[in-house]
Amino acid sequence: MARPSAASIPESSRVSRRQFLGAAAGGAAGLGGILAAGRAPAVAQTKELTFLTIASFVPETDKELKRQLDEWGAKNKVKVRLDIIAHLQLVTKKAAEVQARSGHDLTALGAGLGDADLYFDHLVDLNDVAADVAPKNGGWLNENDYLIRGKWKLLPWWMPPFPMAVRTDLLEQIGEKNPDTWEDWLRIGKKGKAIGHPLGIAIGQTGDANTTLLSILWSYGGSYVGKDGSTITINSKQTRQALDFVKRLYTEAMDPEVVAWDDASNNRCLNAGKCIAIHNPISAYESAKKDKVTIPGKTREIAEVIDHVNTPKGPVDRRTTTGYWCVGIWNFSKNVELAKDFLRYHFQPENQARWVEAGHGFNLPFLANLTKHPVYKSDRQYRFIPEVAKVTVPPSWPGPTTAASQQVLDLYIIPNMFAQHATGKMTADQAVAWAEKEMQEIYAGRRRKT
Amino acid sequence: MNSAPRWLRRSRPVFTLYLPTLPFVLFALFPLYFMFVTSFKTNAELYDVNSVPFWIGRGVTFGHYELLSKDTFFWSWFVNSLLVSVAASAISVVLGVLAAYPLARLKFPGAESFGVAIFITYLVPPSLLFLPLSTVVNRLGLSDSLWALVVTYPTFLVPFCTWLLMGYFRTVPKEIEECAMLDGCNRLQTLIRILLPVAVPGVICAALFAFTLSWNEFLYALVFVSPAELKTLTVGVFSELIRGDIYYWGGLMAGACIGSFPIVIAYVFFLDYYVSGLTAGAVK
Amino acid sequence: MQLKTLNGDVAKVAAGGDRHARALSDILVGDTPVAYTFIAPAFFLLLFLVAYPFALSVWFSLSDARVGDAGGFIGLDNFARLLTSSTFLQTLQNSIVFTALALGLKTVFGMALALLLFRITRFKRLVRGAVLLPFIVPTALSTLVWWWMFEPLYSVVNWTLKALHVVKHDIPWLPDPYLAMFSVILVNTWRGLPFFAITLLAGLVAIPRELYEAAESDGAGPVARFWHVTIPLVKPVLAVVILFSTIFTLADFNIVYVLTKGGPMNMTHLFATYSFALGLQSGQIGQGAAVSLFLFPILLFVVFVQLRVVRKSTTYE
Repeated sequence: MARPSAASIPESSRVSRRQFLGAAAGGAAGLGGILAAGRAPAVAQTKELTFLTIASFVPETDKELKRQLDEWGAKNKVKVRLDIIAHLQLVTKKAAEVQARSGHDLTALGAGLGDADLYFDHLVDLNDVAADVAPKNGGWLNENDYLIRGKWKLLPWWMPPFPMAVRTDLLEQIGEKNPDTWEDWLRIGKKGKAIGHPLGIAIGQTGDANTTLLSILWSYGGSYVGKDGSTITINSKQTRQALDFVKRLYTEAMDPEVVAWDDASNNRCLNAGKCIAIHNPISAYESAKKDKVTIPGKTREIAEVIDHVNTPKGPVDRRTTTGYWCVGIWNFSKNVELAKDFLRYHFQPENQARWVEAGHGFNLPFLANLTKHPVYKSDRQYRFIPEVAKVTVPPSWPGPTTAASQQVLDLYIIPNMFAQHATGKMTADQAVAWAEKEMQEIYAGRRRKT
Repeated sequence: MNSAPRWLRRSRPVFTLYLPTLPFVLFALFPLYFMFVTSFKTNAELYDVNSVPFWIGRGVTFGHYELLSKDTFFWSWFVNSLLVSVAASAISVVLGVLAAYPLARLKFPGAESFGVAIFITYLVPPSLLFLPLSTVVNRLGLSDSLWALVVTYPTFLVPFCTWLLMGYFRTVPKEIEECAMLDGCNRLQTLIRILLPVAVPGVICAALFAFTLSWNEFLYALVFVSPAELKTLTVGVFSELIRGDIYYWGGLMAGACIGSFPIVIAYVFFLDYYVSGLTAGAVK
Repeated sequence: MQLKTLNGDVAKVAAGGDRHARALSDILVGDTPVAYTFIAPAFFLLLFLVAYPFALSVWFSLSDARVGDAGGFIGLDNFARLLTSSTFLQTLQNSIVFTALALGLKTVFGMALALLLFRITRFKRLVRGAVLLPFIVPTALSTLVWWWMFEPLYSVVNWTLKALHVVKHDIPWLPDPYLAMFSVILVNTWRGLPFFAITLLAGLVAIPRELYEAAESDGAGPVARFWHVTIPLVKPVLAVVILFSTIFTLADFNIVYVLTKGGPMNMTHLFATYSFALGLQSGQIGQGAAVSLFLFPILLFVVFVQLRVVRKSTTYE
């Protein structure tokens, strides 16, 4: 390799280096200016209210919320900001804001009431707002469900009820009608699978699996935690019955892929024309309508033959759950009263009605009057939604929601238990024992703190 | 020594060289091709199980790109990513050059420990680090601004730049610097006037790498920046195009295509520098 | 051609005579303050933004901290509990399998590709550029494409296999535990292969041709040349690449999170994803930190050893 000595370095490149450095410095200054301009402006005299929420399934819902926020802000001369993130990222954001004790004033919480227990010491009491909001809206659906350690730490905001979405044309083809119980669906699934259209129930590590499998567990009279909120009740005869039922469902009526499904998979299964039925909110139907998806091989739109019927009944009970999306106010916020005021504004009947309208009824509030919203009569396929709402309970039922009960959901203990038995990896006893041990660990960890 | 006919001899490389390379190229490119094609497919065709996935059968649509441009802050995100990546890379390369020089050339107490300490920072995953880091960022008053990212990105960029430049500097013979210093230059002047010009490929390589890593970063950008117009590309695309249980595949692919574009361009221009930078940097 | 160690450089200069030796000692004496000044910016950045949060993380792992709740010191309790958790042990197994297989694939195919790239003369830039693309496309987005490619219903892979009549039903790439691990390893290999290939290529380029010619004239065939010339001389580069890759592969989060979220039934959980699930989603950051830091002592040891090997590396003129 040639070795240039210092003296041989050309004059031109020395000069150009100086120019480069000068240009770099200038560039850095310019860059700094641009970056500074990109920074959120410091709050001066005007008050500012910030709200973090999740990107809702129907984009119009977000737009309506923003409109209400802007309207309220204009009326009260407050600068407002609505920030939207994907729902899977909410958990990261919440943790970071609480850890740093700084962030947004209002925040979406969920999916589940468990956040109120987890962040109990960081949320503002909302007893007054809850009391104000209820009377004009016909009262809350089930007040006691939403209390965490006896207090209103959040307001339950909306839920997507879980009916059974079914292909009516395929139902006709196999000669079935008016399915209502889980046994009915097993039979339908078997017949459907024989003609290439299996049932679609997720039993993987996903929220939908928690919902449906808990529905099945409850419909057989089982549960995972007792009324006191701390006794683990998963080890029971009813659980074993539910386990066996799901095993039959998996082997006789479904395709093996359901073990790895995520929340969107059952939507895709239905809309691709494969699944004969899924346990899902109306999101699948809505997107099929919007994208004008057709039945494979035909020109008819698939949305026309999708119907929603009530969530199924079991030998003991008809009960289901869903994601309880809530809203709360962080107590490190400097605008607590303003935040409360906006909540009162948003929860006024007219605003709630407009907001539900924007979402085509996907986002059902927990207020009695809203279950009678006209949108549920507008589309014949929505007629059962209010019925489903009536039998919807928090996932920790019959116990109150606690951080521990939430963690059981977050770690997908129930779906894993069912999956291990359904796929034959464990016997029913082993699966139950595994789940029981995992839950005891979780509850023990939580108990130590109190 | 080869007695085969000439045409066979001349085309042998095709079989022993280019043909075996083909699977690698296909493997590397296929997902990207797929991404590209999907971004132009209509939704009806995308969600139809019977359609052929390899090409577009039912008409090209620019709808996904339009959705991105009009209904989201996509171009703001693009600019944000660009600003942050350029700034963070610049800072990291400067710090890397400054740190690599003593580590490569000078003997001083603590050299070895510092060298090792740099590597150790990589053992701590960002998925753990971000929580305490968010407290720090907050105390510095940087949250919800792009500065938070410009300041935190160098934490994972500087170590790699330092390592790369260290290796690169070592390949440059010491004598030329020693001559310069005998002529009266101090260390800083030696670094800037003598070493850097020779080390340009290494610097460019480090800068490219830093730019790529910044551009791809997701976690810190999600946690430290909330306002919609200030998001970076990867975060923005995820927030707006994944709603509940619906993935806007067409839009996601369109976003991915545009999102990859600048980096691809940069690499096309600087590929030779990149390879030669690695050449010297990796082989001390 | 001589083989010498880095220290040999100094020895050569020092041996070059009085004038050189004096100059060298002058240079060495004033070095330390200069060195510290140069290193200072990087040092402080890493101190405040890495060392401090890292210390906090270690504290978390030794406490029962929850999000927003500092918690109290509980010693190695978290780690002890992990060792009895079947999910964690599964994660440990997954991580080892994942890293070992991915590294193996990347090394073997990376070397193969590097050899090919080395000999290609036409379309050089095009091929190198094409092969490098997976590495530079943003991971978060490219993993989404892979997910769409494996999603059993719409999977292009399944479509192709069915069209060729190789299989009749959709292959459950992501639902089956073993296939899921395969998929995750495949995507990691896809993404990491360019790094291996290009860096190994750089290593190959540095090998002097005379060595090959000498070996050939000694009668060594291509395989023997590869074994006795190429491999030993590429070893230092290989060592460095494997070191970096081990660290990054073990810490991989994105691929598993997007493709399988750790499932099915926890069979693809890696340290980072399990730590995330445990720490963030349930707020138990003490335990999450313990999972993340579990491998830290081992990795530290690995880094030390590798750096030793690398610093004593041989250089060539």
